[in-house]
Amino acid sequence: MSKKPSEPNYQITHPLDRPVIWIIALVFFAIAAGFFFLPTGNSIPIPGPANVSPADINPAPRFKVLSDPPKAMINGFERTCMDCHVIIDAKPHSTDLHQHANIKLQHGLNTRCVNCHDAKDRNKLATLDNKTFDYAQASQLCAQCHGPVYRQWERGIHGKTLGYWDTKLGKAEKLTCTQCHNPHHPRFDPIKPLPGPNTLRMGEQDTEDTPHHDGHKKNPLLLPQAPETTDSHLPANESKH
Amino acid sequence: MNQNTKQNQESSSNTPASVGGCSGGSCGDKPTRRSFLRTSAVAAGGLAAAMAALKPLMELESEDRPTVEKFLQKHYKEMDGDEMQTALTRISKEVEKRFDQRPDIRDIKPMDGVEFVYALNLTRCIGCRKCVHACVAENNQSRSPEIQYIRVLEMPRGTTNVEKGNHHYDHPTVPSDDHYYMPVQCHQCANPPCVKVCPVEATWQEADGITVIDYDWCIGCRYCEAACPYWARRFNFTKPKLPKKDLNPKMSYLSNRPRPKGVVEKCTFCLHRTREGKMPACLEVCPTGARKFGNVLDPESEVSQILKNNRVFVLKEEVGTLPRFFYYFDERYPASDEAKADKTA
Amino acid sequence: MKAYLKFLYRCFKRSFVGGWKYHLWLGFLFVIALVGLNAYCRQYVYGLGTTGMTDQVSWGVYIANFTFLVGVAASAVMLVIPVYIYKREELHHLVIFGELLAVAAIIMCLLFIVVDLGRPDQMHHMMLRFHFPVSILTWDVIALNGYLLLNLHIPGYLIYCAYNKRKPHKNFVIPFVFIAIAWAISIHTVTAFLYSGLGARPFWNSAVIAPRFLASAFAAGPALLIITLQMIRHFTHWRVERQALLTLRSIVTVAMFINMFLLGCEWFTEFYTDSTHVASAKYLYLGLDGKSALVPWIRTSFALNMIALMLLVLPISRRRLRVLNIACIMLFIGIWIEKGMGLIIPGFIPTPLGEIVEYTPTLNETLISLGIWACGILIYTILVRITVPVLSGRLTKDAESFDGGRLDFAKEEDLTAINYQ
Repeated sequence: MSKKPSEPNYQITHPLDRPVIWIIALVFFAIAAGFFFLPTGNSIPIPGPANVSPADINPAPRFKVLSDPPKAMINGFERTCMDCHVIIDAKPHSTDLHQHANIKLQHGLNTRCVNCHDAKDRNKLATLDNKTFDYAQASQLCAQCHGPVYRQWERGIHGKTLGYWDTKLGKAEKLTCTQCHNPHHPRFDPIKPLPGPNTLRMGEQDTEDTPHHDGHKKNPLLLPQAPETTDSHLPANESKH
Repeated sequence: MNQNTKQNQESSSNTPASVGGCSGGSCGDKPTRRSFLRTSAVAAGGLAAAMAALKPLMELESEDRPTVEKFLQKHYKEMDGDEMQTALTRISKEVEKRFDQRPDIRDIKPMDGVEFVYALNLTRCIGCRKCVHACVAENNQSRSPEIQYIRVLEMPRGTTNVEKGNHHYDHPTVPSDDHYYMPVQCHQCANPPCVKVCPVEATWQEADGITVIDYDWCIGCRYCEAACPYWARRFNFTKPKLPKKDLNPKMSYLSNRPRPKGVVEKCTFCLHRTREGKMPACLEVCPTGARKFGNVLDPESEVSQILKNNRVFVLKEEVGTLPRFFYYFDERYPASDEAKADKTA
Repeated sequence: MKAYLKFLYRCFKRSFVGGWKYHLWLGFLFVIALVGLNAYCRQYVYGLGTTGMTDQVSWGVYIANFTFLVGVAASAVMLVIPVYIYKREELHHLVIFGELLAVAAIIMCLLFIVVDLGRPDQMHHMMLRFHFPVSILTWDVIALNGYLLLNLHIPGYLIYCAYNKRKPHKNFVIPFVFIAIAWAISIHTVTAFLYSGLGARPFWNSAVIAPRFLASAFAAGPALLIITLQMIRHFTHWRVERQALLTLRSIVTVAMFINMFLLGCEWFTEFYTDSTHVASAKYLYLGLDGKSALVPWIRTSFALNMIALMLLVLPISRRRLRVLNIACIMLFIGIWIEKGMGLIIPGFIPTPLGEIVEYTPTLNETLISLGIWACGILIYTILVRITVPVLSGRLTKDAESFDGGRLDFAKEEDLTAINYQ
């Protein structure tokens, strides 16, 4: 050994140098054990599926096309309209019914049965100029008053077409007026909407029931400066006129 | 310092013993036995920790593991008939294994002389969300978490600005008198920004105007999601969960086959139906006939008639995407007047 | 070739040599990186649902960090430009540290992109069907990888020359340096174009994004350089002149002024116009309809930036480097928030359909991000660890130094004492 150097003021080996290496090795093994033994698995807050039954999304038309003449089961027998009406006379101007009490006629100004039903042959429908039509041609009755909509329907602008858009490949099933609209009550009744979106980490959504700080029902997506007042009062103003 | 015997042995090298005290694993030209032990301990510890860190990979389901077959599969546009058949067989097997059902899976090509267009009548839409759920059922989307291609916005009257719409309306019944409803889905733009941004061409526009995704090609960067002005794209953040009984076995490569996790998907106008002449599922289920679909190149088609006769508009025209999805209103009396007429009757 | 492999082997060996602090530091970074790896494995198995991202906010901290780090990488040229264009010699021997920083930053960028992918196993599709030049993302891939190669080449070549005791050939350095300068500006511009090219996101769809990216990068990058140079100065014997730090200080100050000016331009355009497109900015700075997760962040960032700028402007940061350090750290954090969380996330809120869904990173996601940062810092530490002895002639082809690298960072006078025993 040569002479010891004058102790350099630069620390060459620190007393901690070796223990720290062991400690690091230990930590590595501890981490390895940790990775190995700690439970894994995921913690994704996956929301459950929407509650929708197949009936809710059945694409079948709302109403069946009536047969000609229309048939109904009465006391276990199949009857047509005229089976009864051959003896029961029509009251051409009547608006309230004794027999077909389940039918509520809510069709705007169209308030009388015989506006559409043939007064003589109840198995038929009749236009205002006394042309008779089968039930399958009910749309012709609608067309008398709803000309523009009828023309739109003819072109396919109004209404619904099932089946094939390409008629070379299959039949287009163009629904008639009465397959969607109840002729006695053509306006659609309000229905319950299917469940709204409940997507991943969508966050808490304010519903309609959460009152807004200024008393209004809160729309969570309205911008602060959105013209809420004009929006919500617009229909009200309209109805005043 | 630290002049122990081991380091004295080392002094035969040209390392001055005075500097001894190796701390690092491999310091000095000749590691001592103790330093070797230390090095090995640290190396072994590090290796063990690195291997143990990979432990979650053991939970990977077998069908999610990358396979050579999947790795070698070509891009949709580069596959010939046989290669497509191989891919379809593989997918079919995977589906059968997962759903206990052999699917009818095909690769359906666009038809000649067809360009699809959708038109939606905002006067008629009542916001019932039937289209949303019919779409989910038809297209085998994940049920939990929910992936839905259609969003129905409840819009206050007096605006078409979607930012004012409510996505989460929950009335006992719809429609609400003060609102109209605007369903939004993929607009199948003629100038699609999503296609432009995809770095791997995993999404493209087909001849009939439908923008499709090759789920086996998508790398899941989600750039297309950021680029879409209609928020029409969805990403599988988890493995899509679809109950066996809910599987729609009639499927095609580019549309409703079950998706893997980590890829983007979107509305394809139900191309497995529409390319065979049928109507899309959302249209069929619509209770009010607000939805219209067809070939715009056929002047007699319903959509052509609508574009010709009605005053249609597109959403966010200013972004220049040229959508093939048009909205229109009926020209008719306000609903409130009709309601009044009903009441007076 | 064999010689080069030997060089690499020696570098590898040398990178593990050091005192207990060094080992503790490496061990610490390694552990954090492993925790990140573990978290990533979990994400790989269960999908990106383990992050806080949603279809509404489809990019999160990964892309935010990526964007920020592209800026850090790009700003390496802020050392190169003064040296090679303005001949500021006091920075000459520091350039290499800037370039190494760029290497580490780009590697982090690439890692952040990879962990953000839903299908990393299909990444090779990038090679098979590269949607160039239509997709800006492909431009970014080229820009980043090219920049990585450039920055591996320049310091790599210089270090290898020093190892071989050769004088670097001018033609192998100077052209690449100038390419790198242009390239650095392009990587950040292209990254900005990723966002500003999207008509769907009005918050990003602005021409000022690219210049602001550059300005903030040229503030945050040199600020980080100042901090790292101070570390190098503290932990090694490498000479880092005060003047060099002060040159960087003026770069940071100017860049930060430009950044603040551009921020003002953005504010004016957004808030004075007050069109529907202001929603995202409103969400970021003020909160939108009761949702305001980002507001405290962006306000902190603004405060940090303003205080840092003030400290930088005041002469005290010239006199006392400690103040400069503090200012740089504040600036770095401030811009990290602003460029990361403050730029990417509000772009998604509200969604194009007006839905407001907030985003908070999950633990797993945070661990992955920390892991990548640890990995990058580890790489940088090792690169500096190797570079210093090579450049100071203690690790050459002739011999490893007698002490096996133990004294790499000892001061010259101590070494003389030892050498002549």
